[in-house]
Amino acid sequence: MAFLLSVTEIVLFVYILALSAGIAIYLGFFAFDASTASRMVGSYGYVSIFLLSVCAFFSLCKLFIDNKVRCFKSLGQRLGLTEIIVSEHRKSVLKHLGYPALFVVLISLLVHWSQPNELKIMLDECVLAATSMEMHYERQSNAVMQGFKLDGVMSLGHGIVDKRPLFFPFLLSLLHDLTGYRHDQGLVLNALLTPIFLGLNFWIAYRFLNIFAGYMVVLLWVTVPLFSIVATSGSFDLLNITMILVSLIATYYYLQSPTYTRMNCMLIACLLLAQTRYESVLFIIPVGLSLLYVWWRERSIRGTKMLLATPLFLVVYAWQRIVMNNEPSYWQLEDTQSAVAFSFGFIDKNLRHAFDFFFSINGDQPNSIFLSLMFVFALLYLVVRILRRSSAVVVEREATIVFVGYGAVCLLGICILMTYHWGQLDDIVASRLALPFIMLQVFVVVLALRALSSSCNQMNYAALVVVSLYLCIFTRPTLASIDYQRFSTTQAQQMFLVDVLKDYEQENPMVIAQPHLAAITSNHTAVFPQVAFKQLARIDLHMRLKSFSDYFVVYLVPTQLAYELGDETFLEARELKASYETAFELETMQESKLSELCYIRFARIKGVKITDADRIELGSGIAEVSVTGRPKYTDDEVLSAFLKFLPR
Amino acid sequence: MNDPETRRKNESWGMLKLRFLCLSVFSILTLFGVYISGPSFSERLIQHVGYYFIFVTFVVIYVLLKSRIRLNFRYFFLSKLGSRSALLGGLSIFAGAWVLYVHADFGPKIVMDEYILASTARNLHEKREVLVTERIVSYGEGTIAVDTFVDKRPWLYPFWVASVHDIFGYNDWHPYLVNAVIGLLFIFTVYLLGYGFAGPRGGAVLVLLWSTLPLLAQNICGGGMELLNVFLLHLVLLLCVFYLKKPSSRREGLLVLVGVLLTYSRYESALFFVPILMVVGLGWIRAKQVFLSWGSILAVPILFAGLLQLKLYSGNEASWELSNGAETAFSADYFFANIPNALNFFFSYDFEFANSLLLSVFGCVAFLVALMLGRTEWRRYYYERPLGVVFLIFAVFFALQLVVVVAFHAGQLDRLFVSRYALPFHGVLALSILIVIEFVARRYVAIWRISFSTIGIFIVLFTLPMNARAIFTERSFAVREQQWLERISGRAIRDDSIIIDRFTIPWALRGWVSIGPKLERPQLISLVNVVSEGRHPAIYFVERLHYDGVEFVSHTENANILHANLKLDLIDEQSFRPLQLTRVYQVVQILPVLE
Repeated sequence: MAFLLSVTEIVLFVYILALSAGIAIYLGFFAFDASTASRMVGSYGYVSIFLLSVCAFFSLCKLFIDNKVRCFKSLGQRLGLTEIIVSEHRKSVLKHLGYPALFVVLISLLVHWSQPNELKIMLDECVLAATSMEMHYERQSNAVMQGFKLDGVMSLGHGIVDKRPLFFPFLLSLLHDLTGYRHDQGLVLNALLTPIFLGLNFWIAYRFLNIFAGYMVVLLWVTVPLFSIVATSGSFDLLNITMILVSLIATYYYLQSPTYTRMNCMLIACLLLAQTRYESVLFIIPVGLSLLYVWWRERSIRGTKMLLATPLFLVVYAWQRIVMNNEPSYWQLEDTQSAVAFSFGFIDKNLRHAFDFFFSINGDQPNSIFLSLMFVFALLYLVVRILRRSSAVVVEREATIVFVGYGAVCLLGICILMTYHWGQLDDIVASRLALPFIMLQVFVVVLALRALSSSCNQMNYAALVVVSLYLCIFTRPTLASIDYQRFSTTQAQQMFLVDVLKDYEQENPMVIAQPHLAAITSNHTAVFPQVAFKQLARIDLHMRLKSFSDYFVVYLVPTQLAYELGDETFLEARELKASYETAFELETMQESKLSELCYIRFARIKGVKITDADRIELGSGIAEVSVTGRPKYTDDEVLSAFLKFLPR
Repeated sequence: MNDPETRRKNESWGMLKLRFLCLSVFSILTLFGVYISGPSFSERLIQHVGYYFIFVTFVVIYVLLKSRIRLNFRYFFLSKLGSRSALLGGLSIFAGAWVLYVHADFGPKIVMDEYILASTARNLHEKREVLVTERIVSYGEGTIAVDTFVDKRPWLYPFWVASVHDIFGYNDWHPYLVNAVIGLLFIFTVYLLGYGFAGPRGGAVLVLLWSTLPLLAQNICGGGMELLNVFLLHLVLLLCVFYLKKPSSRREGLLVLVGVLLTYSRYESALFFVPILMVVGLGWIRAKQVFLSWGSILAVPILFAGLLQLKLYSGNEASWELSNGAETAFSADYFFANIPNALNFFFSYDFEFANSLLLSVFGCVAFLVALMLGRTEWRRYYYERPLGVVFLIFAVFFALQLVVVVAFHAGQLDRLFVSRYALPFHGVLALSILIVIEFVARRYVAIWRISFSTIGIFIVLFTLPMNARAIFTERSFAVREQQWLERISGRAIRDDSIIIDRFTIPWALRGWVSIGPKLERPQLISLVNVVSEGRHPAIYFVERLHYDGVEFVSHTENANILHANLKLDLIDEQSFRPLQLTRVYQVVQILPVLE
């Protein structure tokens, strides 16, 4: 789009932008009810995020072509290393590019060796994997809740629209597309993201502060066990903080030189970030303000087609929120026995939990007390230096605007979290929500260190030594000795399910389990227990028809001690076990101890306990089978009846 | 009369007369030989000498390549390869290969075709005989083949597999290895075709167009002969371009001999010999000289075994597998009846079939446009872009090949096992699209960018998920059953046991002693005695059943005789298709006759 100079063109542009926003708001919030919105997300969610990714790809290509990046030398220029590369001084290249890259890779390896690569965050990872599975096979964005492997083909059915935004599952599905399907693709993606994330951290600190800040910022991240846990999980939190940095960099470059290509990159980065985690949509605020600031600074309103389309790309996000708001279970209010999701009444309690998380010293929390304390001191120090108008804390104007903007949103995010019913940061499941704030802490600390080192040059080395010592003496042993997921039976059940099903990869078993998603994402037929209990006759029929090679259940078995502790201990598990034993004749295949209070059991169903009167008969079957195996049915509807009687 | 020019002309004319004479003699002898050969002689000839027909073809091709022929691909196609075009070519070949191979699940796709081909390959490797072993029995310390037959399938693909066995030793995986390598060669050939016509962008577009086709991806990881066929077809097209660019005797010979190989790769590929001869003739006109190379002349007797096989099996009703009331193998009725199935396959927009909607939709339109372009662009194609000429000559025969397939009694292309026959026709669709793009690009260069973007988006949205579903591999219940039997036999059965199974070829291929289930009591008694004498450790019986509405019953009556006479222990059972079941029993003892 050409420069918009005339008033008419500006008015027209603003009018179209307002129209686009109006349409997006109408479509997103008013045009559809929750069930329609759910169907729309399922059908068009993938297309929307795919289009956005295509735009991102072409924008990046254009950015590189515009900047004539054709070789490593020019790439160096893009990275701000002009004088280093041009001088072709090997030592300098090693110092500014080689060593940092090696350092980031080594630290990434350290992070991945410090924790087992496995599912960690309760059901999140399985739901994300289930969404990516449907995206991969069907190009729809539902989370698969039911899957039957029949005639060799896994038919995915009964998907629900998940509350989680679609960018992470989209990337997983892209990885499935490009490298083949894996149920634990999230782990692979996070393994790939770790060096990218640490590299971006290094580069930002190096670009705006100095090379010591680069090393420091990477080391500070590694002192936080939570980072290692998230990086070795299959959840979307690492992508979220990576995208925050990507968006931050794009915004900075736009502010620095507001070209159309850079504007598109900034908008796309922001849109992708908004589709990464629920609350990341807040980062639209600094991006929007940056846009307005540039228009004001240039005394000219300039825009691109991408800008006009930006509101429309958020429609799917809005639909997801409609679906989420309409379904109370998505807010998991029953987990905390709360009546509302957000309330100022939660602040007091959540702040105490947050304090416990950030300043815990007993090792129970995946925190870094060192970083928390450094952050407090750094903040105080910076306030003092700013009040004294010290030049040591000054970075370039555009960078200041971006850091303040993104920092403010990180702060706003943690404030909102404090009003959330599930905002107890000292709960391992919720701790990861603090990651954007930890990022703020990290950058505040390195900024203060830079200011401090301007008066004392040896400070940088001293800081690096201290952080490294903390890492060696506290963080690494803590990570090695403490299992942060030890209380999570959900996580243990899923890992157990994945493990036992490895032995049946070549077979075609049906599994009844709660949670059952790990079985579906591992390409096995799985049924939710409540569905199974209601449809025992159907299970019985398919057992007689030998539709599946085996029929298994996986459930928790509370120990005697659990029963002695009271009626409430593992109540749900007790009820489920009793239901299984009432419904099926079971043969225990394998057991594993989770804690003193419960075991997990893998059992084969030998029979279904129903009366003869309750049994379903198919009534008709196959009359004969041709040489090529083609069946001739006694009734044309027999195959439909076979499918109809699957336990759905 | 004595000037050297005139003398050379006379010698050349004399030589040509000799060549025509040889061609006539070979043609008459070959046709006469085919005419008089009876089935028994034909079978024995194919069995014992078939290997050498192909071997000789390769030897002649080698001699042609080794001698003074200058293929000079570097000059012909790659001389302009600068860094940018090399990058684009490399990237497109890499991207195409990635899309085609990333979800590859190497293993059998079509039962029994692939087992039969593998068996032929094994016999070519071990005995140099074109033969399928249906059953083996123990003999002395080893085994011996007892039921064998000469297969109806041309044996070029088994020849390649046998050659790989010769080099590396016998291995079950060689059929898939051969196809994997052929897949790469095919991608490179396709790139060269496109490059020769429209530069690196043309090559890249053609490769990417082919990579949108899941059917190709699934043939690449299978053990069938269709990929070799389509590869040779494109090699022929490439050699046609090469020949028309600069006609010469040796290039002509090479083209005709590769045409012979093409004929040995699939039954209906003999059709393509006609356009090859047309191209040869066009080359003569272009060069204003009749070459008639020795390669072309030798091609006639080399075709003898192939023609014998065609004659042998086209007259044999059993080889056409007539079923469901079909009385003839081909008919116009079948053609009209199968057209909806073909349309269903080509224009399917869900993930049900291994088709490429992009190739079908754009290809069909482009096919018509490209044929019309022939009128206006003929001259340019003739002088500058020989692929255009080759396309116009071959297009009709590609279409004819599809017509033949659809007019076949089992030519329902939307059936899993039949859709592979549509593979060659996609070649003409892809070429049509390229020809139209090249034409448009002369006026509107941005068409290249649009084409790349469209193909890229189509690959991500449609091709990759379809490849991931691996329709052939996952849906073929017979393949899954065979793989299960292989697993069971590997873990629960001693490999010197006797297997009673309706499908004995896979067992024979794996070296297991097997026998069909059509056994009477005396035979069963002697079988059990073999075990009691310690010559075999056990007997196992594979039974296939279906659910008749009340219980599972055996597909055939033969199994009932076995149940009546033998005490059987169920080892394992599994269903690979709704309402069907496969069981493996161990024979415990012979039951007394009930009074």
